[in-house]
Amino acid sequence: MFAIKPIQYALISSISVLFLCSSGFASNFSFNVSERASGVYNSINWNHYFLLPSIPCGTSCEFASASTAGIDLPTTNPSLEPHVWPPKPANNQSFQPLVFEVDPTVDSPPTYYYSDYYQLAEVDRPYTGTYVNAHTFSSGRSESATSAYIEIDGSEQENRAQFLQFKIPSSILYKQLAYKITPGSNGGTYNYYPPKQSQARYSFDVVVNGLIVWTQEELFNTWKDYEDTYNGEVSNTFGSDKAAGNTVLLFLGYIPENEIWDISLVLRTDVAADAPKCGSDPVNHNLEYGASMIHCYSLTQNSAVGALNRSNLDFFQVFSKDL
Amino acid sequence: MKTQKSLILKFGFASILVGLLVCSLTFAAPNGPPPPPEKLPVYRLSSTQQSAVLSNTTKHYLVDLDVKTAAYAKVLGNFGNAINYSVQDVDRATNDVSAVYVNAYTSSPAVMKNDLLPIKSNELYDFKETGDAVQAFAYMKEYSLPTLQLWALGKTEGFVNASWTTRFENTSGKMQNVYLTFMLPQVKVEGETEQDAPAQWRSRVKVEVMVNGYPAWSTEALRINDLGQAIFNKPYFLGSFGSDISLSESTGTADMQRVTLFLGYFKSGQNANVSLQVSGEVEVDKPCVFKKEEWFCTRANMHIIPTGRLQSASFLTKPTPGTDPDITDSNQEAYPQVLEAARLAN
Repeated sequence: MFAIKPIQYALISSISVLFLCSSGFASNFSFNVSERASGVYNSINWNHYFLLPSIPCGTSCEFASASTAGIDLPTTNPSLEPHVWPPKPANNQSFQPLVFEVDPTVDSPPTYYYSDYYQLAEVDRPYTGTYVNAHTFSSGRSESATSAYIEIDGSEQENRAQFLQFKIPSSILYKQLAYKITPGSNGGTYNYYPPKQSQARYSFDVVVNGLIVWTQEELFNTWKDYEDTYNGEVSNTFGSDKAAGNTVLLFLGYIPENEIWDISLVLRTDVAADAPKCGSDPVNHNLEYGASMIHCYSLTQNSAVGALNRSNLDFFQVFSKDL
Repeated sequence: MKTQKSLILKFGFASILVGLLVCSLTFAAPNGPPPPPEKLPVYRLSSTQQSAVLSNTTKHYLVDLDVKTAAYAKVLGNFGNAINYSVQDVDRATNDVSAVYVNAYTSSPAVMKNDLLPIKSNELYDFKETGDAVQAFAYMKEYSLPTLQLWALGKTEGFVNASWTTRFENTSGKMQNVYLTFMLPQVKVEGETEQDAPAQWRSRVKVEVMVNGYPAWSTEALRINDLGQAIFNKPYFLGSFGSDISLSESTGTADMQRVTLFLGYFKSGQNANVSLQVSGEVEVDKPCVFKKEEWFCTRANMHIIPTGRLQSASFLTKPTPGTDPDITDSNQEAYPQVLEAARLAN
């Protein structure tokens, strides 16, 4: 038998707590992207990594963010550029809480519409996470995007190993076809009106020192003027296939003392539709006498990402370790 | 013995407290109120506006600034007995060219490439010789000369990415309107479906101007084939997102063009990290077929290639109208009007 001395016990306790601390937000996936991020490949011993405490970026890091939300009708400006950008990064700058834009795209009631009869773009950053949304009804176009930007000054980092950890955002696409119902003894005949053209995009890019080190993208399109209800739709995904909500840990390499590294995380959704044809639904019995329910094509693409953990309310974290 | 146990407990608790304190300090959320947001629009100038701005501003050529360039290329596939083979390369430089080339093939091609210059037409793999094969080239010159090339035959994938980054600062002592002008080379996204080895192909391109990490201007296009499923009622499909660069539906090509962006107003001493990002991706989902002593392959390819002489990208500046009593200018970039537009838009 061997006895544990007080100092050993204390050491073990400290290491245990620091281990819990260092892996306090356990990662589901870890990747070594040092070659792409820094230009130099460095190996990493992940077992060693978990034994060492994380060192916060502190005054070595500057943060900035920008968010935009814009809507437009295709007839007025097919190339929507509502973008804005922030001033020089301020130390520990908090994120802009909300940008929001909404406008009806068709006549408002007393006609009744099956779903929200507007185009909408919004970025919201409540304390619990980030939410990006784009929606059209009938014809319209909307774009929403938000970015987080970090600069790391190597002069105070003593060549330490740099890490970026983030949560993978969700991507949810809702689409509703336009249709009319012709009353009949069989309960009515449905006639669907596909959009002339529509598209939706979700993308999440992580760029380090000018190169994309992690990406995830979903594109949805319907073929222009293809008069068919169910065909003519195509979906494509690119980049990582990891599911939303998972935490990703990236090893970026060792920052030299004379360098400043920049990291940007960009989350965006946008939708556009050319779908002027709507249908009526006279058999809906929940309406006033003589009124019809109107069904137009609608498209919604949204994305949400929660806080990384209780002590870090953003969806990402930059830190270093003395590997 | 009791004393030792007590000491153990004291040390233990103390060390846990120290650990938790370190932990909380490590991951403490930033405090302090956010500074007032500064929102400014970024938009592409029309050709008329562009002509006026190009002749009426001070030019700051990119080649005269400190510029970092980067290039990355990666290819994947199953070649011979190599399952899920992949190879990548990266290059970085300051005030110099970054260039990378990676390739992979099943059977040796007749022509090998041994330099870091754009792939010439006679260096592109002939599918009849190589079977599954892929080439990827990424290049960025410090004055904004991007070149990307991807050529994928059979069941392969390729990804390329290149960029330049610089910090632009208003050192004039006055508030200034700031523009960025650069040449976007010819863009092409296409593929070829081989009847004797049909496969799904797709080809994608993305170009973005990042300002302090935000994609202030971007364009993206995707082209895929129909593969006889009668989904598109045409042999291929083209989808585009973001800014319109006049990509032809029939050829998947956009001609080389000048892009001039109004980046907004820079106060004296204000700076921004500005970057041009170009990337491309191609994929074919089925391998080549070998019959009658030769290979048959479906192809996906993309490129961003200059088709003429390129001038250096440059920042353009002029004093902001309305901020200097000596300047009168009623054009649409006058400071108060745009701020109002930004306020209304957000």
